[in-house]
Amino acid sequence: MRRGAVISVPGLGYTSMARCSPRFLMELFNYSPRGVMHFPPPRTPEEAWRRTFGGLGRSLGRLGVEIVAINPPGGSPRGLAAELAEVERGIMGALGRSLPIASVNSIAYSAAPPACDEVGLVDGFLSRIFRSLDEYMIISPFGDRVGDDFEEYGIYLSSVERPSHEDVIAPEQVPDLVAELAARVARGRHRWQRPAPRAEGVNFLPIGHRPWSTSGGYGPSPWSAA
Amino acid sequence: MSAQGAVACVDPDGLSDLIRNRSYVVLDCWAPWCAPCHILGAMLRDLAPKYPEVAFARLNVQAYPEFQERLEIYGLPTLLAWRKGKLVYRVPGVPDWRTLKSMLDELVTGE
Repeated sequence: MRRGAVISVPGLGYTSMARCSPRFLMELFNYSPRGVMHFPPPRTPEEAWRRTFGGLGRSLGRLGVEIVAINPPGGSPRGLAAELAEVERGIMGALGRSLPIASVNSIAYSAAPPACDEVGLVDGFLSRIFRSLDEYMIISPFGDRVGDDFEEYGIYLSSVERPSHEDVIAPEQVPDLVAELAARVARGRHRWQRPAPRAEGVNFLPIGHRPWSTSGGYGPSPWSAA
Repeated sequence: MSAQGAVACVDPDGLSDLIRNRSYVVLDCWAPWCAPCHILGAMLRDLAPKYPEVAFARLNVQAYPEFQERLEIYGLPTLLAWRKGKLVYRVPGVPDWRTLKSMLDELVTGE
């Protein structure tokens, strides 16, 4: 059995990634299949879990993969670092014999968008777990906190390609994507080959050239488009 | 009209008004499904208050395919910048922070 995990971090969106440039997530963003989650209101950690993973039983059908739910929303608050440590233990303990589906909820329960040191904690947590995975799905069903609500768009980074290139991913589509991931975990199927990451700090721009153009042509870009 | 220090969502008509009425206009051409667009959008929201003389705008090109063709936008995101009504910069993809700041500095200081 291959090793796979699904990790949801509601409230940590692309805005936090842009603001804090978390090293692992940015690197993964550069070479992983990626997409954009779209989550209509109401947006709460409980709704994120219910609407994203609620249909899993139906989608997984007879795949024969045991699903382990780790830290669904609603438990007692214990701070981000303690939560991450607990979730990491849970995921690592489940890998290889079941498919862990975990949620990190502290960020969404906070009244403010995450500080960059908190984003860094999540980044380190994801990085450590990622090293043990063959298949992965890292999502934030909705993005950063904005006042009493959250941004409607969230992160999707996964070894499972998004279903439609020119469309956002609805929470109700996630169970089918998890089912695809579970099938790969169960059958050892591996349709996506992870390419070598770009070396950090490499400058793709010719020295002395401006990275933007006034002529309508395409200058080189540090990041590729979707 | 773009509020000072904010990034306004515009349609092609709104963009024409901005280009006519504001000296410096930066347009973020995006689509909801485009993940890098959300990164660039967040960067522009952060930078907009630091450049009050610049009108920052976003246009969802998925809703206006004819606009995409007219401005020759072949990939997303694409950043366009006008100085006094003239298109002066075209930045495909997501530039890094330093590049973006340099472009904005040059937009408002260069003639």
